Amino acid sequence: MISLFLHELRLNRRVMLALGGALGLFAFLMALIAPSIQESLNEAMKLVPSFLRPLVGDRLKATGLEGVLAIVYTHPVWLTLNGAWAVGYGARAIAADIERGTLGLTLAYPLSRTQVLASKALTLLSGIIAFALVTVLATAAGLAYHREALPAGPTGYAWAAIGMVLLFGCIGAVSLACSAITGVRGSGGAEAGKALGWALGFAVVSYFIDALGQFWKTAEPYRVWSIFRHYDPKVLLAGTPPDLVAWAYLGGLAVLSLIVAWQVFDRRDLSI
Amino acid sequence: MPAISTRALTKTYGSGKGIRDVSLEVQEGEMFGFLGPNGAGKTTTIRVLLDFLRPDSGSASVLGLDCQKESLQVRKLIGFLPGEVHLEERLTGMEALDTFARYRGDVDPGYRRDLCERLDIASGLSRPIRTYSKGMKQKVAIVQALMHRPRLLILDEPTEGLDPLIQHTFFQLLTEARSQGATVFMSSHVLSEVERTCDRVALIRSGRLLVTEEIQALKARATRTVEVTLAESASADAFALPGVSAESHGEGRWTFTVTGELDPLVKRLAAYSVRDLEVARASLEAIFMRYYAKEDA
Repeated sequence: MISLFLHELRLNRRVMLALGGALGLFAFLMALIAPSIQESLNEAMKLVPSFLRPLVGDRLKATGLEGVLAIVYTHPVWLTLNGAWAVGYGARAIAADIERGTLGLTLAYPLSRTQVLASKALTLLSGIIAFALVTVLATAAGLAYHREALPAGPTGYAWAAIGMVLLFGCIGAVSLACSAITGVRGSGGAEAGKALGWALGFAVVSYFIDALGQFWKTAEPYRVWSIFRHYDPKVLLAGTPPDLVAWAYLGGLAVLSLIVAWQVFDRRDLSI
Repeated sequence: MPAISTRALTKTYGSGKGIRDVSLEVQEGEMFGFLGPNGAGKTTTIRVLLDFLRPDSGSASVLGLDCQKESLQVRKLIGFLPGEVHLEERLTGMEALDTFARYRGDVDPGYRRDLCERLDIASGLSRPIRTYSKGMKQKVAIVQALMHRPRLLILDEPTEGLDPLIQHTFFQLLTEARSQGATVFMSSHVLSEVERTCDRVALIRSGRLLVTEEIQALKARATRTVEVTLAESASADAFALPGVSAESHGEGRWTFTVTGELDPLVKRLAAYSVRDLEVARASLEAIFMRYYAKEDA
Protein backbone atom coordinates (compact mmCIF):
# COMPACT_ATOMS: atom_id res chain seq x y z
CA MET A 1 0.00 0.00 0.00
CA ILE A 2 2.79 2.42 0.97
CA SER A 3 4.74 1.31 -2.13
CA LEU A 4 1.70 2.01 -4.31
CA PHE A 5 1.20 5.42 -2.73
CA LEU A 6 4.87 6.39 -3.13
CA HIS A 7 4.76 5.15 -6.72
CA GLU A 8 1.74 7.35 -7.44
CA LEU A 9 3.44 10.36 -5.83
CA ARG A 10 6.56 9.79 -7.90
CA LEU A 11 4.57 9.49 -11.13
CA ASN A 12 2.66 12.69 -10.44
CA ARG A 13 5.36 14.76 -8.79
CA ARG A 14 5.91 17.03 -11.80
CA VAL A 15 2.22 17.85 -12.19
CA MET A 16 1.90 18.43 -8.47
CA LEU A 17 4.94 20.70 -8.38
CA ALA A 18 3.75 22.67 -11.41
CA LEU A 19 0.23 23.17 -10.04
CA GLY A 20 1.51 23.89 -6.54
CA GLY A 21 3.97 26.44 -7.91
CA ALA A 22 1.28 28.14 -10.00
CA LEU A 23 -1.14 28.22 -7.07
CA GLY A 24 1.52 29.57 -4.73
CA LEU A 25 2.52 32.27 -7.18
CA PHE A 26 -1.09 33.24 -7.83
CA ALA A 27 -1.95 33.41 -4.11
CA PHE A 28 1.26 35.33 -3.34
CA LEU A 29 0.70 37.91 -6.09
CA MET A 30 -2.95 38.35 -5.16
CA ALA A 31 -2.01 38.79 -1.51
CA LEU A 32 0.54 41.41 -2.56
CA ILE A 33 -2.15 43.48 -4.23
CA ALA A 34 -4.92 42.56 -1.79
CA PRO A 35 -4.65 45.72 0.37
CA SER A 36 -4.97 48.00 -2.65
CA ILE A 37 -7.83 45.91 -4.07
CA GLN A 38 -9.57 46.18 -0.71
CA GLU A 39 -9.26 49.95 -0.81
CA SER A 40 -10.48 50.23 -4.41
CA LEU A 41 -13.42 47.88 -3.87
CA ASN A 42 -14.55 49.71 -0.78
CA GLU A 43 -14.44 52.97 -2.73
CA ALA A 44 -16.36 51.36 -5.60
CA MET A 45 -18.98 49.88 -3.28
CA LYS A 46 -19.69 53.34 -1.93
CA LEU A 47 -20.59 54.44 -5.45
CA VAL A 48 -23.08 51.61 -5.97
CA PRO A 49 -26.64 52.70 -5.10
CA SER A 50 -27.92 50.89 -2.03
CA PHE A 51 -30.81 49.20 -3.90
CA LEU A 52 -28.32 47.67 -6.35
CA ARG A 53 -25.92 46.38 -3.73
CA PRO A 54 -27.68 43.00 -3.15
CA LEU A 55 -27.35 42.30 -6.87
CA VAL A 56 -23.59 42.61 -6.68
CA GLY A 57 -23.54 39.60 -4.43
CA ASP A 58 -21.68 38.46 -1.37
CA ARG A 59 -18.44 37.91 -3.14
CA LEU A 60 -17.88 41.54 -3.91
CA LYS A 61 -18.55 42.70 -0.37
CA ALA A 62 -14.85 43.03 0.19
CA THR A 63 -15.23 44.99 3.34
CA GLY A 64 -12.14 43.55 4.96
CA LEU A 65 -8.94 41.87 4.02
CA GLU A 66 -10.68 38.51 4.34
CA GLY A 67 -13.27 39.74 1.84
CA VAL A 68 -10.59 40.40 -0.76
CA LEU A 69 -8.85 37.11 -0.03
CA ALA A 70 -12.21 35.35 -0.36
CA ILE A 71 -12.33 36.68 -3.91
CA VAL A 72 -8.89 35.17 -4.48
CA TYR A 73 -10.03 31.85 -3.02
CA THR A 74 -13.01 31.69 -5.34
CA HIS A 75 -11.27 33.22 -8.35
CA PRO A 76 -11.70 31.20 -11.59
CA VAL A 77 -7.91 30.89 -11.98
CA TRP A 78 -7.52 29.52 -8.46
CA LEU A 79 -10.50 27.19 -8.91
CA THR A 80 -9.17 25.98 -12.26
CA LEU A 81 -5.71 25.19 -10.86
CA ASN A 82 -7.15 23.25 -7.93
CA GLY A 83 -9.79 21.65 -10.14
CA ALA A 84 -7.12 20.55 -12.61
CA TRP A 85 -5.74 18.31 -9.89
CA ALA A 86 -8.99 17.20 -8.23
CA VAL A 87 -10.79 16.46 -11.50
CA GLY A 88 -7.78 15.75 -13.70
CA TYR A 89 -6.08 13.27 -11.39
CA GLY A 90 -9.25 11.89 -9.79
CA ALA A 91 -11.08 11.12 -13.03
CA ARG A 92 -8.04 9.53 -14.68
CA ALA A 93 -6.70 7.67 -11.64
CA ILE A 94 -8.29 4.31 -12.41
CA ALA A 95 -9.83 4.73 -15.88
CA ALA A 96 -6.58 5.79 -17.54
CA ASP A 97 -4.65 2.91 -15.93
CA ILE A 98 -7.22 0.48 -17.27
CA GLU A 99 -7.12 2.03 -20.72
CA ARG A 100 -3.34 2.02 -20.95
CA GLY A 101 -3.23 -1.53 -19.61
CA THR A 102 -0.82 -0.70 -16.77
CA LEU A 103 -3.33 -1.81 -14.13
CA GLY A 104 -3.06 -5.37 -15.46
CA LEU A 105 0.50 -5.79 -14.28
CA THR A 106 -0.11 -4.00 -10.98
CA LEU A 107 -3.01 -6.27 -10.09
CA ALA A 108 -1.02 -9.37 -11.03
CA TYR A 109 0.95 -8.64 -7.84
CA PRO A 110 -0.35 -9.41 -4.37
CA LEU A 111 -2.12 -6.06 -4.13
CA SER A 112 -5.84 -5.81 -3.59
CA ARG A 113 -8.09 -3.53 -5.56
CA THR A 114 -8.90 -1.75 -2.30
CA GLN A 115 -5.21 -0.99 -1.81
CA VAL A 116 -4.94 0.34 -5.37
CA LEU A 117 -7.97 2.57 -4.90
CA ALA A 118 -6.81 3.72 -1.45
CA SER A 119 -3.39 4.67 -2.83
CA LYS A 120 -5.08 6.75 -5.54
CA ALA A 121 -7.37 8.41 -2.98
CA LEU A 122 -4.42 9.14 -0.72
CA THR A 123 -2.44 10.67 -3.58
CA LEU A 124 -5.44 12.78 -4.52
CA LEU A 125 -5.87 13.96 -0.94
CA SER A 126 -2.15 14.65 -0.56
CA GLY A 127 -2.25 16.97 -3.55
CA ILE A 128 -5.38 18.73 -2.30
CA ILE A 129 -3.91 19.24 1.18
CA ALA A 130 -0.59 20.40 -0.25
CA PHE A 131 -2.32 22.93 -2.53
CA ALA A 132 -4.43 24.28 0.34
CA LEU A 133 -1.32 24.73 2.46
CA VAL A 134 0.58 26.36 -0.39
CA THR A 135 -2.33 28.74 -0.94
CA VAL A 136 -2.58 29.92 2.66
CA LEU A 137 1.19 30.05 3.18
CA ALA A 138 1.69 32.04 -0.03
CA THR A 139 -1.13 34.37 1.05
CA ALA A 140 0.46 34.91 4.45
CA ALA A 141 3.81 35.57 2.77
CA GLY A 142 2.26 38.09 0.36
CA LEU A 143 0.52 39.96 3.18
CA ALA A 144 3.67 39.88 5.30
CA TYR A 145 5.48 41.72 2.51
CA HIS A 146 3.18 44.71 3.20
CA ARG A 147 3.41 44.08 6.95
CA GLU A 148 -0.24 43.18 6.86
CA ALA A 149 -1.85 40.24 8.61
CA LEU A 150 -5.17 38.51 8.58
CA PRO A 151 -7.19 39.85 11.55
CA ALA A 152 -8.16 36.33 12.58
CA GLY A 153 -4.54 35.20 12.37
CA PRO A 154 -3.62 31.52 11.94
CA THR A 155 -7.16 30.42 12.89
CA GLY A 156 -8.57 32.10 9.78
CA TYR A 157 -5.98 30.42 7.56
CA ALA A 158 -6.57 27.04 9.21
CA TRP A 159 -10.36 27.20 8.74
CA ALA A 160 -9.90 28.36 5.14
CA ALA A 161 -7.46 25.55 4.40
CA ILE A 162 -9.83 22.96 5.84
CA GLY A 163 -12.66 24.44 3.76
CA MET A 164 -10.55 24.16 0.60
CA VAL A 165 -9.61 20.56 1.40
CA LEU A 166 -13.27 19.67 1.93
CA LEU A 167 -14.41 21.40 -1.28
CA PHE A 168 -11.77 19.85 -3.54
CA GLY A 169 -11.79 16.61 -1.59
CA CYS A 170 -15.46 16.35 -2.47
CA ILE A 171 -14.84 17.15 -6.16
CA GLY A 172 -11.89 14.74 -6.22
CA ALA A 173 -13.84 11.91 -4.60
CA VAL A 174 -16.70 12.30 -7.09
CA SER A 175 -14.10 12.27 -9.89
CA LEU A 176 -12.49 9.13 -8.48
CA ALA A 177 -15.89 7.44 -8.33
CA CYS A 178 -16.46 8.32 -12.01
CA SER A 179 -13.03 6.85 -12.77
CA ALA A 180 -13.66 3.62 -10.86
CA ILE A 181 -16.94 3.06 -12.66
CA THR A 182 -15.62 3.60 -16.20
CA GLY A 183 -12.57 2.33 -18.03
CA VAL A 184 -12.26 -0.19 -20.82
CA ARG A 185 -8.86 -1.26 -22.04
CA GLY A 186 -7.76 0.11 -25.38
CA SER A 187 -10.65 2.49 -25.86
CA GLY A 188 -8.23 5.16 -27.05
CA GLY A 189 -8.89 7.60 -24.26
CA ALA A 190 -12.67 7.63 -24.74
CA GLU A 191 -13.43 5.99 -21.39
CA ALA A 192 -11.06 8.14 -19.33
CA GLY A 193 -12.48 11.08 -21.29
CA LYS A 194 -15.97 9.99 -20.24
CA ALA A 195 -14.96 9.91 -16.57
CA LEU A 196 -13.33 13.31 -16.98
CA GLY A 197 -16.47 14.65 -18.63
CA TRP A 198 -18.76 13.47 -15.86
CA ALA A 199 -16.51 14.79 -13.13
CA LEU A 200 -16.01 18.12 -14.85
CA GLY A 201 -19.75 18.34 -15.50
CA PHE A 202 -20.44 17.81 -11.81
CA ALA A 203 -18.00 20.57 -10.77
CA VAL A 204 -19.07 23.09 -13.42
CA VAL A 205 -22.83 22.58 -12.98
CA SER A 206 -22.39 22.83 -9.22
CA TYR A 207 -20.44 26.06 -9.61
CA PHE A 208 -23.04 27.64 -11.87
CA ILE A 209 -25.96 26.63 -9.64
CA ASP A 210 -24.24 28.49 -6.82
CA ALA A 211 -23.27 31.48 -8.96
CA LEU A 212 -26.76 31.77 -10.43
CA GLY A 213 -28.32 31.52 -7.00
CA GLN A 214 -26.27 34.48 -5.81
CA PHE A 215 -27.45 36.79 -8.53
CA TRP A 216 -30.96 35.48 -9.27
CA LYS A 217 -33.42 35.18 -6.43
CA THR A 218 -35.50 32.47 -8.19
CA ALA A 219 -32.44 30.22 -8.34
CA GLU A 220 -31.42 30.93 -4.74
CA PRO A 221 -33.20 27.90 -3.17
CA TYR A 222 -31.25 25.57 -5.46
CA ARG A 223 -27.90 26.79 -4.13
CA VAL A 224 -28.18 24.30 -1.31
CA TRP A 225 -27.53 21.51 -3.86
CA SER A 226 -24.27 23.08 -4.94
CA ILE A 227 -21.08 22.07 -3.16
CA PHE A 228 -19.80 25.64 -3.63
CA ARG A 229 -22.67 26.92 -1.47
CA HIS A 230 -21.04 25.06 1.40
CA TYR A 231 -17.66 26.70 0.94
CA ASP A 232 -17.51 30.28 2.19
CA PRO A 233 -13.90 31.41 2.45
CA LYS A 234 -14.83 34.88 3.67
CA VAL A 235 -16.46 33.52 6.80
CA LEU A 236 -13.67 31.01 7.31
CA LEU A 237 -10.90 33.60 6.89
CA ALA A 238 -12.65 35.80 9.45
CA GLY A 239 -12.02 33.03 11.97
CA THR A 240 -15.74 32.55 12.59
CA PRO A 241 -16.51 29.04 13.89
CA PRO A 242 -17.19 26.94 10.80
CA ASP A 243 -20.63 25.86 9.69
CA LEU A 244 -20.43 22.21 10.69
CA VAL A 245 -23.49 21.29 8.62
CA ALA A 246 -21.75 22.62 5.50
CA TRP A 247 -18.61 20.70 6.35
CA ALA A 248 -20.60 17.57 7.03
CA TYR A 249 -22.30 17.98 3.64
CA LEU A 250 -18.97 18.22 1.80
CA GLY A 251 -17.29 15.54 3.88
CA GLY A 252 -20.31 13.25 3.66
CA LEU A 253 -20.51 13.56 -0.13
CA ALA A 254 -16.78 12.83 -0.38
CA VAL A 255 -17.03 9.74 1.84
CA LEU A 256 -20.13 8.53 0.00
CA SER A 257 -18.34 8.91 -3.35
CA LEU A 258 -15.35 6.96 -2.05
CA ILE A 259 -17.61 4.18 -0.80
CA VAL A 260 -19.28 3.99 -4.24
CA ALA A 261 -15.86 3.95 -5.94
CA TRP A 262 -14.64 1.19 -3.61
CA GLN A 263 -17.73 -1.00 -3.92
CA VAL A 264 -17.91 -0.73 -7.71
CA PHE A 265 -14.17 -1.13 -8.32
CA ASP A 266 -13.87 -4.07 -5.95
CA ARG A 267 -16.68 -5.98 -7.65
CA ARG A 268 -16.40 -5.12 -11.32
CA ASP A 269 -14.78 -7.15 -14.07
CA LEU A 270 -11.51 -5.75 -15.32
CA SER A 271 -10.63 -6.65 -18.88
CA ILE A 272 -7.00 -5.67 -18.40
CA MET B 1 -2.13 -30.90 -5.56
CA PRO B 2 -2.71 -29.47 -9.04
CA ALA B 3 -1.05 -26.17 -9.88
CA ILE B 4 -4.17 -25.04 -11.71
CA SER B 5 -7.62 -26.54 -11.52
CA THR B 6 -10.78 -25.23 -13.10
CA ARG B 7 -14.19 -26.85 -12.81
CA ALA B 8 -16.90 -26.01 -15.35
CA LEU B 9 -15.57 -22.48 -15.49
CA THR B 10 -17.89 -20.17 -17.37
CA LYS B 11 -17.53 -16.48 -18.09
CA THR B 12 -19.47 -14.91 -20.90
CA TYR B 13 -19.64 -11.36 -22.18
CA GLY B 14 -22.55 -9.54 -23.73
CA SER B 15 -21.14 -10.27 -27.18
CA GLY B 16 -21.48 -14.01 -26.53
CA LYS B 17 -17.72 -14.43 -26.33
CA GLY B 18 -15.97 -15.86 -23.31
CA ILE B 19 -15.48 -19.37 -21.96
CA ARG B 20 -17.98 -22.14 -21.25
CA ASP B 21 -17.58 -25.15 -18.96
CA VAL B 22 -13.81 -25.11 -19.04
CA SER B 23 -12.48 -27.90 -16.82
CA LEU B 24 -8.74 -28.08 -16.74
CA GLU B 25 -6.07 -29.53 -14.50
CA VAL B 26 -2.40 -28.61 -14.67
CA GLN B 27 -0.06 -30.60 -12.45
CA GLU B 28 2.75 -29.05 -10.42
CA GLY B 29 6.05 -28.97 -12.29
CA GLU B 30 4.39 -29.28 -15.69
CA MET B 31 4.92 -27.12 -18.73
CA PHE B 32 1.44 -26.74 -20.08
CA GLY B 33 0.44 -25.19 -23.38
CA PHE B 34 -2.92 -23.52 -23.74
CA LEU B 35 -3.59 -23.28 -27.43
CA GLY B 36 -6.23 -21.58 -29.46
CA PRO B 37 -6.79 -18.94 -32.09
CA ASN B 38 -7.31 -15.30 -31.16
CA GLY B 39 -10.59 -14.81 -29.33
CA ALA B 40 -10.81 -18.48 -28.32
CA GLY B 41 -10.92 -17.72 -24.59
CA LYS B 42 -7.28 -18.15 -23.55
CA THR B 43 -6.90 -14.67 -22.09
CA THR B 44 -10.34 -14.82 -20.46
CA THR B 45 -9.29 -17.99 -18.63
CA ILE B 46 -6.07 -16.34 -17.47
CA ARG B 47 -7.98 -13.25 -16.32
CA VAL B 48 -10.23 -15.43 -14.20
CA LEU B 49 -7.19 -17.15 -12.67
CA LEU B 50 -5.79 -13.72 -11.76
CA ASP B 51 -9.20 -12.53 -10.46
CA PHE B 52 -9.46 -9.72 -13.01
CA LEU B 53 -12.73 -11.30 -14.11
CA ARG B 54 -15.26 -13.00 -11.85
CA PRO B 55 -16.71 -16.21 -13.32
CA ASP B 56 -20.44 -16.56 -13.97
CA SER B 57 -20.25 -20.13 -12.68
CA GLY B 58 -17.72 -22.83 -11.93
CA SER B 59 -14.54 -22.47 -9.94
CA ALA B 60 -10.83 -21.98 -10.40
CA SER B 61 -7.99 -22.67 -8.02
CA VAL B 62 -4.24 -22.23 -8.09
CA LEU B 63 -2.05 -24.45 -5.91
CA GLY B 64 -5.08 -25.31 -3.82
CA LEU B 65 -6.18 -21.70 -3.32
CA ASP B 66 -9.44 -20.34 -4.65
CA CYS B 67 -8.71 -17.77 -7.35
CA GLN B 68 -11.50 -15.45 -6.25
CA LYS B 69 -11.69 -15.90 -2.46
CA GLU B 70 -7.92 -16.18 -1.91
CA SER B 71 -6.78 -14.04 -4.77
CA LEU B 72 -4.04 -12.20 -2.87
CA GLN B 73 -2.40 -15.45 -1.73
CA VAL B 74 -2.72 -16.81 -5.27
CA ARG B 75 -0.97 -13.79 -6.74
CA LYS B 76 1.88 -14.17 -4.25
CA LEU B 77 2.69 -17.50 -5.89
CA ILE B 78 2.35 -16.38 -9.49
CA GLY B 79 4.57 -14.70 -12.03
CA PHE B 80 2.48 -13.19 -14.83
CA LEU B 81 3.48 -12.09 -18.29
CA PRO B 82 0.60 -10.36 -20.08
CA GLY B 83 -0.12 -10.78 -23.77
CA GLU B 84 0.31 -7.10 -24.42
CA VAL B 85 2.89 -5.47 -22.21
CA HIS B 86 1.96 -2.02 -20.95
CA LEU B 87 4.53 -0.53 -18.62
CA GLU B 88 4.39 2.92 -17.04
CA GLU B 89 6.10 4.99 -19.72
CA ARG B 90 7.06 7.80 -17.36
CA LEU B 91 9.51 5.48 -15.60
CA THR B 92 12.84 4.05 -16.68
CA GLY B 93 13.13 0.30 -17.00
CA MET B 94 15.08 0.13 -13.75
CA GLU B 95 12.50 2.23 -11.89
CA ALA B 96 9.73 -0.04 -13.18
CA LEU B 97 11.57 -3.17 -12.02
CA ASP B 98 12.33 -1.55 -8.64
CA THR B 99 8.64 -0.71 -8.26
CA PHE B 100 7.61 -4.27 -9.09
CA ALA B 101 10.21 -5.61 -6.66
CA ARG B 102 8.79 -3.39 -3.91
CA TYR B 103 5.28 -4.68 -4.64
CA ARG B 104 6.58 -8.23 -4.41
CA GLY B 105 8.92 -7.76 -1.47
CA ASP B 106 10.86 -11.02 -1.85
CA VAL B 107 13.04 -10.47 -4.89
CA ASP B 108 16.66 -11.55 -4.99
CA PRO B 109 18.52 -8.58 -6.57
CA GLY B 110 21.31 -10.86 -7.80
CA TYR B 111 18.89 -13.08 -9.69
CA ARG B 112 17.12 -10.06 -11.13
CA ARG B 113 20.44 -8.67 -12.36
CA ASP B 114 21.28 -12.06 -13.86
CA LEU B 115 17.96 -12.17 -15.72
CA CYS B 116 18.54 -8.66 -17.10
CA GLU B 117 21.97 -9.64 -18.35
CA ARG B 118 20.81 -12.86 -19.94
CA LEU B 119 17.97 -11.08 -21.70
CA ASP B 120 20.40 -8.37 -22.76
CA ILE B 121 18.57 -5.39 -21.26
CA ALA B 122 20.93 -4.41 -18.44
CA SER B 123 22.46 -1.52 -20.39
CA GLY B 124 19.12 -0.05 -21.48
CA LEU B 125 17.41 0.02 -18.11
CA SER B 126 18.39 3.62 -17.34
CA ARG B 127 16.41 4.88 -20.35
CA PRO B 128 12.73 5.89 -20.07
CA ILE B 129 10.34 3.13 -21.08
CA ARG B 130 8.71 5.41 -23.67
CA THR B 131 11.89 5.03 -25.75
CA TYR B 132 11.76 1.20 -25.67
CA SER B 133 10.93 -1.06 -28.58
CA LYS B 134 8.16 -3.66 -28.18
CA GLY B 135 10.78 -6.38 -27.70
CA MET B 136 12.57 -4.41 -24.99
CA LYS B 137 9.31 -3.89 -23.08
CA GLN B 138 8.59 -7.59 -23.42
CA LYS B 139 11.98 -8.42 -21.91
CA VAL B 140 11.38 -6.11 -18.94
CA ALA B 141 8.03 -7.84 -18.45
CA ILE B 142 9.72 -11.26 -18.58
CA VAL B 143 12.16 -10.17 -15.86
CA GLN B 144 9.32 -8.98 -13.60
CA ALA B 145 7.50 -12.27 -14.12
CA LEU B 146 10.50 -14.42 -13.23
CA MET B 147 12.48 -12.36 -10.72
CA HIS B 148 10.80 -13.69 -7.57
CA ARG B 149 11.11 -17.36 -8.65
CA PRO B 150 7.33 -17.96 -8.67
CA ARG B 151 5.81 -21.40 -8.14
CA LEU B 152 3.53 -20.85 -11.11
CA LEU B 153 4.29 -18.88 -14.25
CA ILE B 154 1.30 -17.72 -16.25
CA LEU B 155 2.45 -16.55 -19.64
CA ASP B 156 0.05 -15.09 -22.17
CA GLU B 157 1.56 -15.24 -25.66
CA PRO B 158 5.06 -14.89 -24.20
CA THR B 159 7.25 -14.69 -27.27
CA GLU B 160 5.44 -11.88 -29.07
CA GLY B 161 8.04 -9.30 -30.08
CA LEU B 162 11.09 -11.36 -29.11
CA ASP B 163 13.83 -12.07 -31.63
CA PRO B 164 14.77 -15.77 -32.11
CA LEU B 165 17.95 -15.50 -30.06
CA ILE B 166 16.12 -14.07 -27.05
CA GLN B 167 13.32 -16.59 -27.56
CA HIS B 168 15.94 -19.29 -27.11
CA THR B 169 17.18 -17.68 -23.87
CA PHE B 170 13.61 -17.27 -22.70
CA PHE B 171 12.81 -20.95 -23.16
CA GLN B 172 16.06 -21.81 -21.38
CA LEU B 173 14.90 -19.67 -18.44
CA LEU B 174 11.56 -21.47 -18.42
CA THR B 175 13.28 -24.85 -18.43
CA GLU B 176 15.48 -23.74 -15.51
CA ALA B 177 12.46 -22.47 -13.61
CA ARG B 178 10.75 -25.77 -14.19
CA SER B 179 13.79 -27.73 -13.03
CA GLN B 180 13.52 -25.75 -9.78
CA GLY B 181 9.94 -26.94 -9.36
CA ALA B 182 7.97 -24.18 -11.06
CA THR B 183 4.90 -24.89 -13.16
CA VAL B 184 4.56 -23.12 -16.49
CA PHE B 185 1.17 -22.35 -17.98
CA MET B 186 1.63 -20.80 -21.38
CA SER B 187 -1.06 -19.60 -23.73
CA SER B 188 -0.12 -19.33 -27.36
CA HIS B 189 -1.31 -19.49 -30.90
CA VAL B 190 2.24 -20.31 -32.07
CA LEU B 191 2.09 -24.08 -32.22
CA SER B 192 5.77 -24.72 -32.81
CA GLU B 193 6.85 -23.09 -29.54
CA VAL B 194 4.33 -25.09 -27.54
CA GLU B 195 5.33 -28.27 -29.33
CA ARG B 196 8.98 -27.60 -28.49
CA THR B 197 8.54 -26.76 -24.83
CA CYS B 198 5.37 -28.18 -23.32
CA ASP B 199 4.52 -31.60 -21.90
CA ARG B 200 0.78 -31.30 -22.23
CA VAL B 201 -1.50 -29.12 -24.18
CA ALA B 202 -5.12 -28.04 -24.12
CA LEU B 203 -6.90 -26.84 -27.23
CA ILE B 204 -9.61 -24.25 -26.83
CA ARG B 205 -11.93 -22.82 -29.40
CA SER B 206 -14.92 -20.50 -29.17
CA GLY B 207 -14.65 -20.67 -25.39
CA ARG B 208 -14.86 -24.47 -25.20
CA LEU B 209 -12.07 -26.86 -24.37
CA LEU B 210 -11.66 -29.35 -27.20
CA VAL B 211 -9.00 -31.64 -25.80
CA THR B 212 -6.36 -31.84 -23.07
CA GLU B 213 -3.61 -34.32 -23.72
CA GLU B 214 0.11 -35.03 -23.64
CA ILE B 215 1.69 -33.75 -26.79
CA GLN B 216 3.33 -37.10 -27.54
CA ALA B 217 0.03 -38.98 -27.08
CA LEU B 218 -1.75 -36.46 -29.20
CA LYS B 219 0.79 -36.88 -31.94
CA ALA B 220 0.79 -40.67 -31.63
CA ARG B 221 -2.93 -40.75 -32.24
CA ALA B 222 -2.71 -38.34 -35.09
CA THR B 223 -2.60 -39.09 -38.79
CA ARG B 224 0.86 -39.89 -40.17
CA THR B 225 1.89 -40.10 -43.79
CA VAL B 226 4.06 -43.02 -44.88
CA GLU B 227 5.80 -42.80 -48.25
CA VAL B 228 6.97 -46.20 -49.50
CA THR B 229 8.70 -47.42 -52.65
CA LEU B 230 8.37 -51.16 -53.24
CA ALA B 231 10.57 -53.24 -55.53
CA GLU B 232 7.56 -55.20 -56.81
CA SER B 233 3.98 -54.46 -57.68
CA ALA B 234 1.22 -54.86 -55.12
CA SER B 235 -2.55 -54.47 -55.10
CA ALA B 236 -4.35 -51.93 -52.94
CA ASP B 237 -6.31 -54.75 -51.34
CA ALA B 238 -3.09 -55.97 -49.74
CA PHE B 239 -3.08 -52.83 -47.58
CA ALA B 240 -6.73 -52.83 -46.62
CA LEU B 241 -6.11 -52.39 -42.91
CA PRO B 242 -8.18 -50.55 -40.28
CA GLY B 243 -7.04 -46.92 -40.05
CA VAL B 244 -4.93 -47.12 -43.18
CA SER B 245 -5.75 -45.61 -46.55
CA ALA B 246 -3.48 -46.45 -49.46
CA GLU B 247 -2.81 -44.57 -52.66
CA SER B 248 -0.64 -45.90 -55.48
CA HIS B 249 1.42 -43.53 -57.66
CA GLY B 250 2.70 -46.29 -59.97
CA GLU B 251 6.16 -47.84 -60.27
CA GLY B 252 5.88 -49.24 -56.75
CA ARG B 253 5.42 -45.83 -55.09
CA TRP B 254 2.73 -45.70 -52.42
CA THR B 255 1.42 -43.15 -49.96
CA PHE B 256 -0.30 -44.48 -46.85
CA THR B 257 -2.25 -42.30 -44.47
CA VAL B 258 -2.26 -43.95 -41.08
CA THR B 259 -4.42 -43.07 -38.11
CA GLY B 260 -3.30 -44.78 -34.93
CA GLU B 261 -0.70 -47.55 -34.70
CA LEU B 262 1.85 -47.99 -37.49
CA ASP B 263 2.59 -51.59 -36.57
CA PRO B 264 -0.03 -53.40 -38.76
CA LEU B 265 1.14 -51.53 -41.86
CA VAL B 266 4.83 -52.18 -41.14
CA LYS B 267 4.10 -55.89 -40.70
CA ARG B 268 2.17 -55.99 -43.98
CA LEU B 269 4.99 -54.15 -45.80
CA ALA B 270 7.46 -56.71 -44.44
CA ALA B 271 6.02 -59.18 -46.96
CA TYR B 272 7.48 -57.02 -49.75
CA SER B 273 10.92 -55.85 -50.71
CA VAL B 274 11.01 -52.20 -49.58
CA ARG B 275 13.36 -49.83 -51.44
CA ASP B 276 12.54 -46.70 -49.51
CA LEU B 277 10.36 -45.76 -46.55
CA GLU B 278 9.69 -42.37 -45.00
CA VAL B 279 7.33 -41.58 -42.15
CA ALA B 280 6.22 -37.99 -41.78
CA ARG B 281 5.28 -37.25 -38.17
CA ALA B 282 2.19 -35.15 -37.77
CA SER B 283 2.96 -31.67 -36.60
CA LEU B 284 0.96 -30.18 -33.78
CA GLU B 285 -0.37 -27.77 -36.33
CA ALA B 286 -1.86 -30.60 -38.38
CA ILE B 287 -3.44 -32.07 -35.24
CA PHE B 288 -4.73 -28.71 -34.27
CA MET B 289 -6.30 -28.12 -37.66
CA ARG B 290 -7.84 -31.60 -37.59
CA TYR B 291 -9.54 -30.90 -34.28
CA TYR B 292 -10.82 -27.62 -35.55
CA ALA B 293 -12.06 -29.16 -38.77
CA LYS B 294 -13.90 -31.78 -36.69
CA GLU B 295 -15.51 -29.01 -34.65
CA ASP B 296 -16.57 -27.14 -37.76
CA ALA B 297 -18.10 -30.29 -39.22
